Amino acid sequence: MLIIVLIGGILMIAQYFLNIPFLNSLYKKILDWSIVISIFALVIAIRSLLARQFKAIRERTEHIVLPLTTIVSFSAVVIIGLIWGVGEGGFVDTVYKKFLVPMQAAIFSLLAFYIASASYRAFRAKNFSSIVLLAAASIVIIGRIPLGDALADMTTVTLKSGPFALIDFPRWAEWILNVPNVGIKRAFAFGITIGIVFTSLKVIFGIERGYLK
Amino acid sequence: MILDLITLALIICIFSFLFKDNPFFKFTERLLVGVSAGYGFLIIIRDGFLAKFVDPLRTGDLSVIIPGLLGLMFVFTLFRRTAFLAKYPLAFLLGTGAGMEIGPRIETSIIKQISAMGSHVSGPVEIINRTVLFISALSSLYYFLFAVRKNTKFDRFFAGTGIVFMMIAFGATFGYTVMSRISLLIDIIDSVVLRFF
Repeated sequence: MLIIVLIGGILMIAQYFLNIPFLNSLYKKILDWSIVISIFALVIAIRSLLARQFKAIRERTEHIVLPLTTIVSFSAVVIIGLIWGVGEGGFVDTVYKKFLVPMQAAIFSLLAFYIASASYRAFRAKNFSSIVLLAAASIVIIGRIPLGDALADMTTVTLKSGPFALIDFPRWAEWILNVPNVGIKRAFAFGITIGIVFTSLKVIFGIERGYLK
Repeated sequence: MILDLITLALIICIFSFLFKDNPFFKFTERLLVGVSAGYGFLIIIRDGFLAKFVDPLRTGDLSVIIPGLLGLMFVFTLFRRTAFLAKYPLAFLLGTGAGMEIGPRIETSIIKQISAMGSHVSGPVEIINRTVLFISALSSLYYFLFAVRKNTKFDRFFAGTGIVFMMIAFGATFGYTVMSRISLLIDIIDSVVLRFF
């Protein structure tokens, strides 16, 4: 197994740094192969999901309607999709547009309420760091709502160089997002990349073997 | 119209969670899990299994039998005695996946980012912005540099600067996330709920 990992890893590193046509075509092939292998893993995952529902029905750990809902909805979508296809305008497409998209948006928008309550607890100006965090968040929030534009319009004065807004939240928000925020994201990207590269090398050279257990 | 009404009812069931966890929310949640899994399964069958496995087989590309066999080995996880066989496809995915990550990651997240910081700038505002960007990146990296003892005043000042910039970035990310969630909420209310009033 370690040999498979070592050879696969070294070939894929080599194809990136050495421009050898054989390795490049092998890379494309292995990308497709990985998708095919992952599909079988997905089948196992779905089997696990359904087995869990059947177990819940058997052992009555929750009301029977709940696991049945998952089984019936999954089966209905799969059977109808396999019979009539998943093309534009079909049943599955309608389910996606009319059901999945608004439902997922509703679940995510639920977080708005929880973020509001979390921010009440988190945004207490207890020390200098939290004041900076509070100020940055407030500027970005006000800068992205109509109030920010209205304040900028109200406080605009005309200088020789042209109009200048004294309280310009949208511009400040843009600056925060594009300058210090990008700098920090870059620094984090460096750190994350170094971590990924060294973990990958540890996996390839057999130092990290947790997956074998 | 009927579909819209069903969607509205389900959205109300989801928002009922704000009051407390209740059977209506649980039902909608399970429905969402089932439908999402079914939809995902169908899409992967169409775009993955048929496109990457069946179609090449039809055109005579027998090499796809290799990932097919490796994938089938995952099924052996279901049986205790043969479960070890599932480690082979896992080893293949891990080895090739790890190898594929290294090159592009180094290029996009390190080399291109450094070269973007060093690219040509024009005008005093851009120079100030670039300097702030550079100091923010460097000071936050310095803060996380645990291999060096930060004893001198400069060390503590520079690491502290890193914390301040990180707080600005966290605050900005928080504000941005709040606004995106609220936009979703407004969109849901506007496109689904207000349609009926």
